This record gives sequence, C-alpha cells and structure tokens, in this order.
Amino acid sequence: MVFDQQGFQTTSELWTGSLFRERGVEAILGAHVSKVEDGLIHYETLDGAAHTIGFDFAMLIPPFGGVPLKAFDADGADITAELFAPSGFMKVDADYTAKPYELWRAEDWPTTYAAPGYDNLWAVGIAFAPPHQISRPHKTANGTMIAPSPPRTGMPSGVMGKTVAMTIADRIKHGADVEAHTASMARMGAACVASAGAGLTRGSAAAMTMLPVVPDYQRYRTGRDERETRGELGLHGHWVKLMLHYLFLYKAKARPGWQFIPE
Amino acid sequence: MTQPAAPASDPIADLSKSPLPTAKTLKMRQSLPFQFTRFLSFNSRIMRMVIKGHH
Repeated sequence: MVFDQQGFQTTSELWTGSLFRERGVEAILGAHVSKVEDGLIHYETLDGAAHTIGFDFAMLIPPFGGVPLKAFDADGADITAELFAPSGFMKVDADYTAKPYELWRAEDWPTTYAAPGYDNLWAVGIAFAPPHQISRPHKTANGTMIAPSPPRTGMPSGVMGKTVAMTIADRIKHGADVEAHTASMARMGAACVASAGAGLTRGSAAAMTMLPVVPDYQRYRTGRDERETRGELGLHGHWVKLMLHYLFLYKAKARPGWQFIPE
Repeated sequence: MTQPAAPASDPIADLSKSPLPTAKTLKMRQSLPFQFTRFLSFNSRIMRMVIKGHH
C-alpha cells in the first residue's frame, strides 16, 4: 500500500519496518517455510538458500486452499475440474486467463461471484478462486513460488456475502432474470485493524483503510485512492477493534437493531 | 528444480534505516483526547466507505 502521511507518500513496507524497529521485532522477508519440526522451522529464501530457525512458540499460516469437494452432474459425471480450480476454490465470474503480472487488471476480478453456467451456485470470501494474486509473485532460484495469497476475509467477505444474499433474495422475489448485485474487490473499500497492544488506556493498533482492496493502477496513480487509503497507529485503533468485536457478535446474534450495524 | 544450497545464517532484514517515532508521536498515540478525535475520524471514514457502497 501507498498512503499519505503528513504530506509524504509512505509505503506500507516502510510503515511496518518502522513499527518492527520500534518494537525490536526481527523480520525475515521473502521466505518459504518448507518443513516444521519440533522446535525448528526449515525455510528457503529468494536466493534459493536453505535456512533453519528455532522456536519456543510458533504461529504459522498454512497456504490457502479450498475444501476438497467433488462435484457431479445430473448424469453422475465428475465435473469437479469444471467447477473448481486445482487449489480447491470455486471458479466464479473472474478472468482466469493465465497472464504475467504486468497484464493483471482490476477487471480480472469477479463481481457477482456466480459460478459460470449455473444460476444457483455462488462462492464468496475465501471460497472463490481468485484470478491471480494481488502482489507480484516471486520465485526462488530453485523454482519455489513465494506468492502471498489475496486476503479475502473480514470486511470484503461480509460485503460479498451480503451482495450474493441480496441477489438470491431479489431472484426469489422478482424472478430469475433480475440482474445480480455486484461487489468487486477492485471497487470496494475495506478497513483493517491489527492489534499492537491491549488496554483501554495503554493499548494500540494499526488502523488502516484502503480503497479499493485490489489495487487498480489504471484508475489510481498509486493503485488506490490516496484520500481513502490511510494507516495510523494509536490507542484509537484498539478502541475500534474492541468496539467492532462486540458489535459484530451483537449483529451475529440478531439482537435488536442488528440491521444498522454495517459489514 | 535444483536442491537448496547449504544452510546459511538467518537473513534478518536490515531495518536500521526505518524511521522511528519521536517522543511527541509516541505521546500522542496514547493521548486520550487526541485519540478520541482519531477514533471518531476513523469510524466516520469507515461509514463513508459503507454508505458510498464500496464504489
């Protein structure tokens, strides 16, 4: 991300590096974890070198993958490959044409999240197959891919789910020909709050907004709207996170007034 | 695909050039009155995004 901070364009890389330096966090960039043993992680870096690092406590995020579902048509033929990408995510109305990073476009991303050829199948959030990554993918000297997966959780997921629900409701009420509602990640904005300390008077968090989630370099010079794409560290971020925690649970339980709590 | 090279020391990123916050910035991050204004500003920015319909 690139955002305006006190009159200067700051990258999220610089911003994160600043926080890490402030907190004494050491970072290893561009690494692929190849094996995890008891107390030891094996990883490979972009230059192809192998490394190990010991740990007392580790938190690892496994590669995103879809649920290994199988699909069959009315005649019993296996149509799994037609509906799902090899990763297990469901194909939707995205442009899945293989192309290099330089040719990636905002229009590649889906808008209705409907499975092509089906009027009763949708996939939202981390269930749909993205057309490609968001960030530039990298390959190590050994050919190992190091490519961050597009984040499709949180606020964008809620918006997609609501959008598809509205489409389904409209078609039930007004017929199958009603135009679908749309919510492209290349058009929607999102907020993200990353905790950096707890406590009502001593807590902290990185509070960020971005518009759009998937950068559009044809529309915006830096890929995103510079006015709406911001990041700030402070106590207010912790308050926001705490407030959203209670609000979303309140909404999930359909308590009075839940309709007024947005995604 | 070639085999990875022999294990090397941990390639810790050099963050020594990353800017550090000033004492004033650190103080403002914990200032209750100032952070309350930032809380209102952030929430209004989120609501603006929601109301605009994510276009």
